[in-house]
Amino acid sequence: MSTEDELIRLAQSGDSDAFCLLAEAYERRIYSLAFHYCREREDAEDLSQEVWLKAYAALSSFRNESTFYTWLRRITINCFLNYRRTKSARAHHETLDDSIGRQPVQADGGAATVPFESTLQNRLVVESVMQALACVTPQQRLIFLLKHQEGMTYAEISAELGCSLGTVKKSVARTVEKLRGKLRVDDAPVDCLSSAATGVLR
Amino acid sequence: MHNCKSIRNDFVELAGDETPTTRAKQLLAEVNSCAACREEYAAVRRAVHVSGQALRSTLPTETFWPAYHERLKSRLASSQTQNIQTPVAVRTSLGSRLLQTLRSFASTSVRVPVPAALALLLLIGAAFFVLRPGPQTTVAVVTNPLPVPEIRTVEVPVIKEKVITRVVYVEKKLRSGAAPEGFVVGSPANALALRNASDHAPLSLVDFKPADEVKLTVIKSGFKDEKR
Repeated sequence: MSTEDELIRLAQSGDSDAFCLLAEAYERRIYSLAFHYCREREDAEDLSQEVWLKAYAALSSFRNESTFYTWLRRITINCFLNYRRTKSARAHHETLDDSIGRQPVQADGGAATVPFESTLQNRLVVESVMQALACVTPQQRLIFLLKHQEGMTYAEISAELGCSLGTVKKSVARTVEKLRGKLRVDDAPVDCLSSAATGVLR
Repeated sequence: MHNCKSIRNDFVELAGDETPTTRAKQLLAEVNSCAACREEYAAVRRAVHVSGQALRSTLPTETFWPAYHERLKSRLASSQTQNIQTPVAVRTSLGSRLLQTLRSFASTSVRVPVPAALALLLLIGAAFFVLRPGPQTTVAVVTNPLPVPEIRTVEVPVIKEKVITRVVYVEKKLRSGAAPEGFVVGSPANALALRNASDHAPLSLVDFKPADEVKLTVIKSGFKDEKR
């Protein structure tokens, strides 16, 4: 039995410390996803903690049929969709610049843990990505995040969100179109975009 | 036959590794054969990979997490105390639980296809018309019947009037009596002279007062061209 399985078993029996250790393993991914989805630090924290509370409440229903993270991601997506429903009721007119300004990402002391954002150039790339994501609908944003941040396939996204495969494809294509416009990758040489990103480019 | 437009629709999927291997090989071979498509595909790949890398790498600094943990622990603790208190509360108030269930039922959104929703609406509408109560038959008890109105035919004499219309032509300027002396009514020369005179002396309505009565003199057989 792996450490994770042991932690899950302990958490299921009511050990909140074991659950906190489980949360520690995945909290960065969940928080990052939440932050890119709602684009505000406070909302991202609330949303990610809501995911953990829901997961803790529903932990008895986890049957090891999938990995813990897959199960957790399902809860995350449901939380995001609920968040969108509640959020759509109130106006959401804050500019992206404000949200970028309030990002928890800081240059001081964080360089070791934030390799991509360690340079000003990369910060600009991240800001452009955030701006492009702000231009698409929440669903398109979520689909893009699930695809290119979480690495899910179109079929998995379609099944998780309950939408058609065509919708997923169109959403990703629309977001990529926005990203191309914001990142200006069409005419820029690769090394101008990000030295960190060049490693994955051909 | 290479078609740039059709092949470019597949670039996002190809860049996202969503294309099956054999198809991906075909597409890449086709992309390499066309310079424009090669450029386009490279741009899509760059956008996808740079943004993916940026998204995955954006994380708060390590100083952020201890406080985050503390907040999560406190929220978990508070949720645990709520969970302990909740069963007692649920057992004591079944009505509130029912109310909560109804509220959640009312607030839950159910996805219904548009044709099904329309059919349902039509069914409800038809059921409403079919099941609604028919027109109520009222039985009026006549205790004191009204007297039946008596119909009589009354002959009323109709006075028929015969209207005779006769057209009489009268010159306007002569009717007003403003003709200068020596003018003979109906003479074409005098009419011309009168027109010239009026051209020299411009007409003015300053002292004009409309008469209460208009005296009209009709001269029968006064002119040669009078119509009878």
